[in-house]
Amino acid sequence: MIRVPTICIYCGCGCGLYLNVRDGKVNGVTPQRSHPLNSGTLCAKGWSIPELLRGYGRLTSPLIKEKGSFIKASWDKALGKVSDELNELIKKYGPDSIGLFSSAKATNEENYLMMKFARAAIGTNNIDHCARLCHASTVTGLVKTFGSGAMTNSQNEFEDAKAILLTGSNPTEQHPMVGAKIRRAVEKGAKLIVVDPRKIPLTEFAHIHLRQKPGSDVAWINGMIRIIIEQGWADDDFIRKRTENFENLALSVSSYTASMVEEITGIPGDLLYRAAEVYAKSGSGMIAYGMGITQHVTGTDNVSALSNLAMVAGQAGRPSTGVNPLRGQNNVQGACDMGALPNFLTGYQRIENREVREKFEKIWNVKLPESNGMTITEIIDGAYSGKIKGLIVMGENPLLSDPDINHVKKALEKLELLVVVELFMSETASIANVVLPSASFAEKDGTYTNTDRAIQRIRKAVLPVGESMADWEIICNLSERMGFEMGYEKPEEVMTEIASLTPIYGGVSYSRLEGESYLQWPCPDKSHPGTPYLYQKEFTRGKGFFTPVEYREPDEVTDSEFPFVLVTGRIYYHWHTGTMTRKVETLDREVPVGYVEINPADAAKIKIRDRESVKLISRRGELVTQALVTERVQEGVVFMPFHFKEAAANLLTNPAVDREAKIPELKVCSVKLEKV
Amino acid sequence: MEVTIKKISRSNLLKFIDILCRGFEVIAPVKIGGDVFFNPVKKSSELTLDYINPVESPKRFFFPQIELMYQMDFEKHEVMRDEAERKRKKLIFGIRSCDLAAINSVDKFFTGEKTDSYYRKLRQDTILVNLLCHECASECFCTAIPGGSLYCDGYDLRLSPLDDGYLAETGTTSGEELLKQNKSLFEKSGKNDIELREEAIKKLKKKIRSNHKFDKAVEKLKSEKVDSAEWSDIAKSCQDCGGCCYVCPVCTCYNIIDDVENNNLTKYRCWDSCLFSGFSRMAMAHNPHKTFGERLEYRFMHRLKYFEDRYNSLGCTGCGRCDVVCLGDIGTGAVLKRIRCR
Repeated sequence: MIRVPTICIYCGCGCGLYLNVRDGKVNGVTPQRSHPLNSGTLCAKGWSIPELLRGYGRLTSPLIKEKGSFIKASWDKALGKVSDELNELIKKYGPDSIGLFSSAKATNEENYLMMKFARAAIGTNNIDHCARLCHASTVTGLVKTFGSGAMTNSQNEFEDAKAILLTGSNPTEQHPMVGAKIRRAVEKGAKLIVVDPRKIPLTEFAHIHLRQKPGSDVAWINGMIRIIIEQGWADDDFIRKRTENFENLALSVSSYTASMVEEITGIPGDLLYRAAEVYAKSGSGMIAYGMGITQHVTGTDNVSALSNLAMVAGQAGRPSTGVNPLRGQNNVQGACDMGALPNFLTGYQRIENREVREKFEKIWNVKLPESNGMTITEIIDGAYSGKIKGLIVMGENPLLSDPDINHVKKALEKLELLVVVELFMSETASIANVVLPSASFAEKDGTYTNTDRAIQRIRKAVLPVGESMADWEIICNLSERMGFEMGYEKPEEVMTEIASLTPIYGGVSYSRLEGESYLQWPCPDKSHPGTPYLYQKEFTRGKGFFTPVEYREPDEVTDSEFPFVLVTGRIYYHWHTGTMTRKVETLDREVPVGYVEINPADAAKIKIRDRESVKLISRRGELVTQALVTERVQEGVVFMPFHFKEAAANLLTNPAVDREAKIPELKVCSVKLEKV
Repeated sequence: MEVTIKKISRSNLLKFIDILCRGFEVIAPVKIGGDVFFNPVKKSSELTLDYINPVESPKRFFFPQIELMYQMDFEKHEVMRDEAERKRKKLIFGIRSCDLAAINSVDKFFTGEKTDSYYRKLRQDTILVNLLCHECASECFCTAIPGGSLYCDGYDLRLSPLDDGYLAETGTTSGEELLKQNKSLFEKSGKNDIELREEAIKKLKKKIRSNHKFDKAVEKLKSEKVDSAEWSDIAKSCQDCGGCCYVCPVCTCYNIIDDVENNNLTKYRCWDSCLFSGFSRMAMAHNPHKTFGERLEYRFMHRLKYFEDRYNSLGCTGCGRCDVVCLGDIGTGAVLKRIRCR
């Protein structure tokens, strides 16, 4: 048996595990006891990786669609077709007629190559990835207040916090290590405040649970800031030395009185007061949040408001404090760091900055497109309107993951060329012109960057299934065919180039990532030990900037025709669009079908019993699913996981986006419920 | 059978292992990264003797986490089985008594009333070389529960660490044979060696019992005096990972997967856990163990009472691995401590 140390493929925690290889096959996993984060533990998804790697449903050869059905093709033919057609489109419509979706599941090296391919080989900045749908507003919101957008502190620091304010996140299910660490903190005496419309497993351990109306976050956050200022709990010293624009913030929050906040959010004034007191007076308080904060048309405002709150209370720049977005995918932090974004090159260096471009142009030996490209949501709209003619999707499944999938489908069908690089025949792959089979994480080398900015090695344990090929090899091959030589022999060489061009990754190299390394960026040079928490001395922008924000309603509010708020989200046993977890018997058996959570009072009103079929209708689509009658949701609110293709929640969701981050409002839309 | 008691120096022990490597796939404690695993070695220099207990028991070598049972080709009417694993002649070196006790229990389950051919083929003819403990980890609680012991029968050869080498005792004719074949490496044991060994084990037992004492908690559990409210309170921390069952050297539950693709059926079995609701769910979503609390109660009762009732053999051998692997900090040791405290 060979034990290959690597990193879990699922969430952003980044747990260390060994793949146990016997006779060339993975026949088990073992959690790494010596790993600094998971110390010998894994969640159900991590433990079930051997079932995923049995290879069921894997694509084994390139496929070309001819007359409506897929025909097996050689790599030579498939890549030849893709490069010919891309060249044709570029000639006919220009490079900006091409869009590229990179992947938060792929390695740093692959994301880097994908964005290099987009910018250098094709000549467009139309590159984006699913961070657009999860934490785009974290970046825009935190850039305004702190100057850069990443988790400020580390996952291990939760255990030592004195207070934790957790909002719009269900870490027990989505970031199991963080969930465990928060529970441990409570058992050690920390006070836990959960602000969430739903009951989550951690509300069992919470001292205060505030159940806000979905989409009302700015109001309760501003309300808390007002209480902290008025009661004299603000950290005046921190505000004076480390921040600016405090007066304008104080002025803007002064109108968020207890009664006004209660009217907007439904949170009783006395509870909000207690929460504000616990957080502000705790000494070390951590804010942690997820997509309950970011997936709103006010996502950027929500995030800015949370960072205002942290700065008012002086809860930043020290261990066990800060504003901590919990990143969803195993490498969504890395995909952002690598510049798989329409406006940034690696390490958040702006594409519109001439000096930055020149630095890359010199190394890449090519002229780069100068202005910001299109986001995922804009590329989909562009495909619909005819502006985008060709799209390359690597390891994403927009036909299930993006809002308003009826619209997504129409848009994708209008494309002249859709190329999907995938492990499985996903919904999106099934409507592609060319499907390229990619190798899994167990079949290649590379690095992932987890939610707390730690860069970790993944290692090749077994040979690729069938003719599948690692994403980085596919990109290199395609690029060469298009006339732009990449010339890498192995991923390590790509990381060397990344380090040379990216200040925050400057000291990263494969030799430093051996053993039990947990190297957290910024790591500017070879002797730098990495950075467990940010902003010890100053924020990225120097002083923290208080950014006043005002409450605005969600894009779609309930009315007599569509009286329920639909919140979408995820569950423990499944991963995103289920392309992986629904093939894993252990996980799929736990929750084999989709459902909608309905409060018992609402269920009684529309005469729906538990497990009965119910129809959900929004302004964009409709579906039938099973009712789960539960007090986990409030009256007037229903919740649906988006993993299930048979009851695809995103048929219903609203594609309206945040003005700045372009993140869609996946957490709030209006629906009606009908008995079937 | 006659028991032979000999002594072997540390350097000769390594030579002995090198010789064993020629005839067996020797599976021994190996340091990989910062962790120690049972892993195949080609020579003695690859293994470590400086370990308390490997991260996992050797269960995986007899009962892999995922095991291809067979493959069928519908068109060609062919059945294929994975034979590579079955041809290996294994020797487990350095197994502690807790894991040995576990193998004895698992043997009863898989080859007792009815024989599981998959298990038997991987398990049969495996030589077990028991190495008694010289130290305990904080999670170890073998002697803190009734019936638990730092000794266990079922070995082919047992080694006990002494200051100047190892005491070697044979337990089976296979063990006897190995000793005979390598006579020159072994010497006569000293007069006091057995006594010295027993003293060391006694001391270790005392140390474990100063860390943990679970007799009363187990008794309370066995007489079913832990009520459902307490179980549901404990279960609040359960994150449903299944890890406790996976690392348990005695747990044997598995699920079957049938993959039908093109003209092929591939049948696997893989580890399962009674903490998953799907494990006990029946038609119409009926579930005798509906809540986490009920499932946790069932698991503990099975490990500490029902298994013993049925097989007259320990269902928990006190290795403490479930305490290390538990995301909810409610492994067996932690729960027994909680029960005792109330």
